[in-house]
Amino acid sequence: MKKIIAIIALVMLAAGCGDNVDESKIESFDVDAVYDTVSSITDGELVTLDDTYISNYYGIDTADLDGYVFAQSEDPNSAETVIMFKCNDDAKRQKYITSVENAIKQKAIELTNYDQPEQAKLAQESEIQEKGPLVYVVISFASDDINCTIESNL
Amino acid sequence: MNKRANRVYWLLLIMILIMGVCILADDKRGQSPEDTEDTTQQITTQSFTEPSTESSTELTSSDETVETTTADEAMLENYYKNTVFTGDSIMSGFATFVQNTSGDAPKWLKQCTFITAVSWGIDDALKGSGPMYNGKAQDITLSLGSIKPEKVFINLGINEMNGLGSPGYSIEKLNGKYGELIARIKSAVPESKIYVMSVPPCTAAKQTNMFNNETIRKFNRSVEEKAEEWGITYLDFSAEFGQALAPEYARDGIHHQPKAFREVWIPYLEKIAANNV
Repeated sequence: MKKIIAIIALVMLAAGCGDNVDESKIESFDVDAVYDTVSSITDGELVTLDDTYISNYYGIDTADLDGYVFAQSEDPNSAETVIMFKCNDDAKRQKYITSVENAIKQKAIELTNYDQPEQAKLAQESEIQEKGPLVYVVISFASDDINCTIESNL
Repeated sequence: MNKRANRVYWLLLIMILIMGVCILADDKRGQSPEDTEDTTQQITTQSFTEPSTESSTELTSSDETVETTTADEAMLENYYKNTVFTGDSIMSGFATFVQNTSGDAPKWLKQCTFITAVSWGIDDALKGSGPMYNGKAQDITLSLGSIKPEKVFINLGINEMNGLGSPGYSIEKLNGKYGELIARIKSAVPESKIYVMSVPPCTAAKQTNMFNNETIRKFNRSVEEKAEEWGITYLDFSAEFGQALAPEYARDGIHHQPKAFREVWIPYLEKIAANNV
């Protein structure tokens, strides 16, 4: 009996969203595979954007990335966004993080002006995470679950 | 026995604590607002345009000037090469539709650059508050200046239709601002051909006293009348939707669904190219 209880407790602890990041897993982190899982738990349906959009909007050259997903809601009233990319070049990574920060600030402004305070708040409260070459940010009512899923792969 | 009982008791306690934390965390997540949709939209507006000066072709409502043509891909790709589409949330929706990796937008459209912002209006653009381009939000004239496009399609105005025509907020005034904006854009990209798309209507159900299709039509007319003076090509795009936006094309009464992009926007842009407007 005590073994069963102990196993259950360990499984629950292991499944929890800890801050522990396994450095070795960052390198093998498969953005597309993780997004496949994430896409099933987003608040609304998201679409992934092509290289032209990523370049024009974010100023990010996807040739500099080792893996990437830029997904957002089709609904202009929704802030929901999931961005994940891996960039090994430190300088470019910092530049691209700044672009994403700019985009999030702009999204919050636009949605505030559009009388969508809850959506604007989601954008304002989102946090860009940088784990080695991996960068990700989630703007969603389901951000806890999505972040947890991403972190469970780290 | 005592020792064993203690261990079980201790493990159970940990389990209860863990479960408690999980329940609290779930509750917190559960509070998240879901009804994004309804809270919404009073916003309405969008742009339009009218006939041009130089090469000035006026593409009036679909039937006359233009007949549906099956333009071939190469011609379309050539016509829309180095083209920018700029506008508010209606255009933002189109941009997302076109640049969706798993979408079905044609290649000739995917090559275009979209510079759009939700809640953006003529006045915002005139003040230099611009949408994101190349990683930063900036004045549209700067973005266009760095691209130097052959063609620029502008769709603005819907966000300024609410209350338009009421005291202190006249159609003439907004029209004047649009003229100023066009002048700024033309000065930034003098070689570009500028197309102004008329503001599409909202659904009948979305209309209010302050925001309605009659106001949109009046505004569109005022722009059309200025097209020659401004040196732009006015596109009577709104005529493609009739008197009101069909509910099956509408996301929320104002914004468009992929069905509208497939059945109205793309065929319309094909017609423009086929007629070499």
